[in-house]
Amino acid sequence: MRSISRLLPAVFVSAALALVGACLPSANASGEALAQVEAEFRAAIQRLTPATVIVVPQRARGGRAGFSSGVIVSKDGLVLSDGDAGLVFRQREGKQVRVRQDAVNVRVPNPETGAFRTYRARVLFRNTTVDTSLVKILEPPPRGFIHVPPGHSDQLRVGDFALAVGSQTFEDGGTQPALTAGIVASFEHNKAGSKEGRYAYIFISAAVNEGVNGGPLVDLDGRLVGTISTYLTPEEDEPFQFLGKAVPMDRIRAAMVDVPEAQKLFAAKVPAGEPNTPAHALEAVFRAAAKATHPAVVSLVIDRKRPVSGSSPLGQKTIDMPRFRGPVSGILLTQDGHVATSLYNVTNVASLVEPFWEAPDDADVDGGVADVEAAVVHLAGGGSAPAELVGVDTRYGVALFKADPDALREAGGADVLPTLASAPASAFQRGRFVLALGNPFGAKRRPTPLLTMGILSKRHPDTAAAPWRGQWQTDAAGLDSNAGGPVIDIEGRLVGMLTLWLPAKHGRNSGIAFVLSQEELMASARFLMEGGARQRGFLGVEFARGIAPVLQNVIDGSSADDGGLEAGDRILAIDGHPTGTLIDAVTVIRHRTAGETVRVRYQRGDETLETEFTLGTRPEED
Amino acid sequence: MKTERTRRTPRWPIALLLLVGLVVTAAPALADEAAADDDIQRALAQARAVERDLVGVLDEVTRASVTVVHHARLPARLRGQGRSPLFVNGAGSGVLVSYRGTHVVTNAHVVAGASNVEIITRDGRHIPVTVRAKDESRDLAVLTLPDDVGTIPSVTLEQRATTNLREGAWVVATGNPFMLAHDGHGAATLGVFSGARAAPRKGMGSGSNYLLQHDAEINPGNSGGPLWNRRGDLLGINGAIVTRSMRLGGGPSYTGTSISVPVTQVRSFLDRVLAPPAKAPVKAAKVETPTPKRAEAPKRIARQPVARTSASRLGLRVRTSVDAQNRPDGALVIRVARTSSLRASRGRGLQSGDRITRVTRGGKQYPVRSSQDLESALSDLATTQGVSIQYVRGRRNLTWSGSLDAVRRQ
Repeated sequence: MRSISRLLPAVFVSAALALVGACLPSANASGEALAQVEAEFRAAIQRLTPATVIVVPQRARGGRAGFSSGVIVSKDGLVLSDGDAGLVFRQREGKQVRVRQDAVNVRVPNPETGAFRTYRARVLFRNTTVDTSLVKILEPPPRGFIHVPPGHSDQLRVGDFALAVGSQTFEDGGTQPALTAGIVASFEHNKAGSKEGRYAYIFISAAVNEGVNGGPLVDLDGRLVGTISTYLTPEEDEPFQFLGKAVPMDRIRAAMVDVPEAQKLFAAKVPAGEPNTPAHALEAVFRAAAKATHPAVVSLVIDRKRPVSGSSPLGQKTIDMPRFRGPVSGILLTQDGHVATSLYNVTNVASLVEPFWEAPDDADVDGGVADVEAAVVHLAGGGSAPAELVGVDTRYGVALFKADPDALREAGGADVLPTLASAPASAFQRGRFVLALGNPFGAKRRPTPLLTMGILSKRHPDTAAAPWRGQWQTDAAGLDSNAGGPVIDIEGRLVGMLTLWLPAKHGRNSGIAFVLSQEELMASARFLMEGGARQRGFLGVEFARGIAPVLQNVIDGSSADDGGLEAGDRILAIDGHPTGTLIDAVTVIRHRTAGETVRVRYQRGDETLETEFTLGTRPEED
Repeated sequence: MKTERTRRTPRWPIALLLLVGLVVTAAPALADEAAADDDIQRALAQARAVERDLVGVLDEVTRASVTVVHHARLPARLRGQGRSPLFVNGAGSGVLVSYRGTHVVTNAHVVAGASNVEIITRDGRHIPVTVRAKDESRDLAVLTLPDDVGTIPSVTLEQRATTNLREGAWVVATGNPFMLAHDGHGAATLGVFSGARAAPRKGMGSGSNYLLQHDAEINPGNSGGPLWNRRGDLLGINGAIVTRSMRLGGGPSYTGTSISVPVTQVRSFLDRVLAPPAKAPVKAAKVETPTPKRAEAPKRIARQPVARTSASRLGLRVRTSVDAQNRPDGALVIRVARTSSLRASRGRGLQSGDRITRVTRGGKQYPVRSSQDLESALSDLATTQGVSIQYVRGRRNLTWSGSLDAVRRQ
């Protein structure tokens, strides 16, 4: 077993990095560094677009022709594509069957005009298990093709930039080139010493679409590190859902080891990269930060009566959203064995977002929490300990678990539990890079977290009428498999916890995820440790029938009464939210918890008045 | 092209009260020998420099990025006591632009059918605006600010923004996805430019000669919001996404393909609607594309595989023709599609080798000295009924005249 103590220095590296970083002179933003990064990105794909091709079967003969992207890897027209190159869908006895043809056409873009020219080609080798094929263009032009020679994938690490290119297809049969950029999010590893290289699959944060399968994946130096296989759909047992999946180049090399035409191709030396550039520096920092903080990203296997409901409001409908049902990510928060995760992982939170949604029984927040029977905390470095649910906080979207710290320490084989250093207030700035770390692997250990990267997009005001009030938004991919995990800055310090609120609407990997700041996370955790429970704020009024929020009755001794509100008053705004309608007013109040102060502007007769009071709790019913 | 347009979203109200958090918890920051790793220190310094640049650009561009909401008045029978309440009926994004005055540019579909339109700026101001002009085919609209608006940040339209644009360039989108910028603070997303793409043949966006594709996340509500380059120049107006998210069990959201209307179209649109009508179109063409060197579409983009321009929608492929002194002197016809009604038959119409020198439509003349001039001259086809194209074949000056509507059905 890998001992946690061996990993500990790595965690403290991140803390020390923070100190180093603080000592650096704060130069002004000149735009120069960003310009260099962009130049590197542009250079990396310069040769890629003219070498990216389309592979289609020559004759579909009444069937429907499949479509793959591919990449020219030699001057004389060898093309790498996916295992579906030459695929034809046929109807046979009312069933659709997949036939793979070796006679294919390869469409090559003219680097000058961009127009495609079609070449007849032949599939020399195909392996559908690895999802790769080697295609030879039969009559290449004398001057040859612009090409991207095959590179290696074994040197890739989680956090490296990866660029995907291909021709995306649409339902109406149209195609369009597409480039998406992201980072390597995770790998599926081969067994140590495997002839197929280090990795079985590469998972990338960049979105890839239909038709891009078979297209090239390159690193920052423009070296071909793999070909795109597919994007992953939301299956219950798929931790990499919503990510792109690519076949590593070293696995492709191994698959083609006996193909005569590939011998010369793979014998060529792969050029070395240029490690000392700003974009490479970013990669190096992502890699180092993710690795250093990995031990504090735990996996929670939650034993429950029913799985977390996928019910979600979408427009006027309620849909059943497919979810990942495997282990969820958490943050090891204290030396006392507290583990925080997102409330999203414990219950259905949709009704906290949409208070007027008529949720089905299984989507009840409290019911979902009550379903939790037991939990096990798995440390990233190996070892596990049972944990119990301490409590949940609907205000911040936190669920707090606690494991016996001695059991955890014993399981990890170390005296100190790996917790994260906190990011300072200065780290919360729009445009700062953040990394989201996930551990959906449970007892199966990986050497790095599931990593996605983005920037801090904005902070939502504390008074927003939504559960993400006070939280940051990020465009780092938020997924079922990293919700509840830590978000760190480039120095490996805890920025906060990644949270999803309504992915049926905001989508997963859609550029919208929320980050509860570490300060509020800790405040919430302390509140729960002390046995606190959030209660909805209670105004204590009855509204008159109608659209406008006019008070019909104010309950004696209620918070509205304390604030001086009277029957007949019309609420104009609460905490700055204009309340033109009754629904507006109730929505704002429903997103407030007891004990919070609200500012109410109201109209009494011809006067506009304002008052401020603290929301109470609903009185116990007799 | 299957393009799901970003849609209007319901609302979340706003307010502004920012509390900057203090750090309460901190794990012991132990210095370790392992930290004395020169490589990591150097990388970190470089990464921080990149980050500083990004923070700087975002601070700048979010000033001019605004939230656009429009309100509807409740029907009389639903009104309660007091004034008739307004409710948010639709929302999107916009950008404050300085060009012949300061205006808000957004998508036409964001303000479709809207009467009470309001923008929300980053400093929390709610400013009522009026829809001055719309162009559905380009999916652009310009909103007029009230006279008493005072000082307000804005951006200029920079020629350099798209002329030097290459695939892989870093881009930033700001706006109001899912009404998440109801406080006026645009949400920012980062991505790369993916290439110039064909405009759809019909419907919104068809009036542009090309569109920008990128992978910065765009969602419903981002419509009308700005796309920026790394220098903070306005690149375009985000208008659409291609999405498969509904098939993955959710509502429409970003899945890798975002589409923007290029800033050159914004400029020619503003030229058309903000200047005296008699001069506008010719001037627009001149301002945008004085020489082929400073072409409207960046060179690399113009060569995109399927970049379907206005000319190519007519079945024409052209390139800039030059005279003996290497000066541009027209648009040389390379190919005329078999289905194009411009194609020569019985001696009438275009054939390859012809040099187009002038386009006349709506009583206005557009001199054509380059392929880009031809693009500009044809770029708002949808609003024009008839067109005549003057061209040179050998030593003869010829003219083709016809209805564009008929041509576009081909």
